[in-house]
Amino acid sequence: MWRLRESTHPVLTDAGGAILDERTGRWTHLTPTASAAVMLLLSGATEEEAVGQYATRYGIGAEQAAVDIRTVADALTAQGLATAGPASHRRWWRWWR
Amino acid sequence: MTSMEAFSTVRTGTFLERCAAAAGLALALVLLRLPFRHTTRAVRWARRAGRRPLTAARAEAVVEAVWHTARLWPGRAACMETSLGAVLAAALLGGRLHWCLGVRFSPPPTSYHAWAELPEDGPVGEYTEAGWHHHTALTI
Repeated sequence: MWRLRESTHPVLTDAGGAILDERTGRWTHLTPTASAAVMLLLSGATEEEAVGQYATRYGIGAEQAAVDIRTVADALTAQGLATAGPASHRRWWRWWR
Repeated sequence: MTSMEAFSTVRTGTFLERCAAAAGLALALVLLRLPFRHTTRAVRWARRAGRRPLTAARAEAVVEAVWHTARLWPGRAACMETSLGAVLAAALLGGRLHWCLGVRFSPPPTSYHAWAELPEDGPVGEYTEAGWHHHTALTI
């Protein structure tokens, strides 16, 4: 299941979004549509449900919505802000990370 | 973060508060040179020292004392440095201020900001009369 990493602190609004990575102190800016895509992905819906809601919201086809949502998810995963795997558990011998 | 320098030409606070402000700002300048994850960890530790709630007047005095001290620093002393300096100064005085990092989307342009906040009283030393439009991402 796609999710943001524990070290991230997102601000997601209809006017746009931003994600602070506590490991690096860097902000990642999200456009309003990218912010909506992340909100839908984090809402607990499956990716198919998120695609359906996104398509309805912006009046676009399901294919285009799927491409948009996947692009946002992949971009955040590539930046190390999100992960598609299960939650990782911090190991006690690497507590400082 | 905003690049505007934040300093005050008005000396405020008691001698003790001004000393704490100088020490807090110096610590903040050092901590902000570290990787950010170490900075936040150090701030969380420092927050444990400051458990006593501050009054709004004292919090304001500490923040303004940090701004006044920042006037003497020739390098960058913007919102990150002064807000963290205020939080650390408050901790040195045994008081508690939150360090907040956030973003504002409207009115445009998008701006990133750091500020000190009293736990139940909102941002300290910030202009809030026209409303506070920043969304908080991280509170320590």
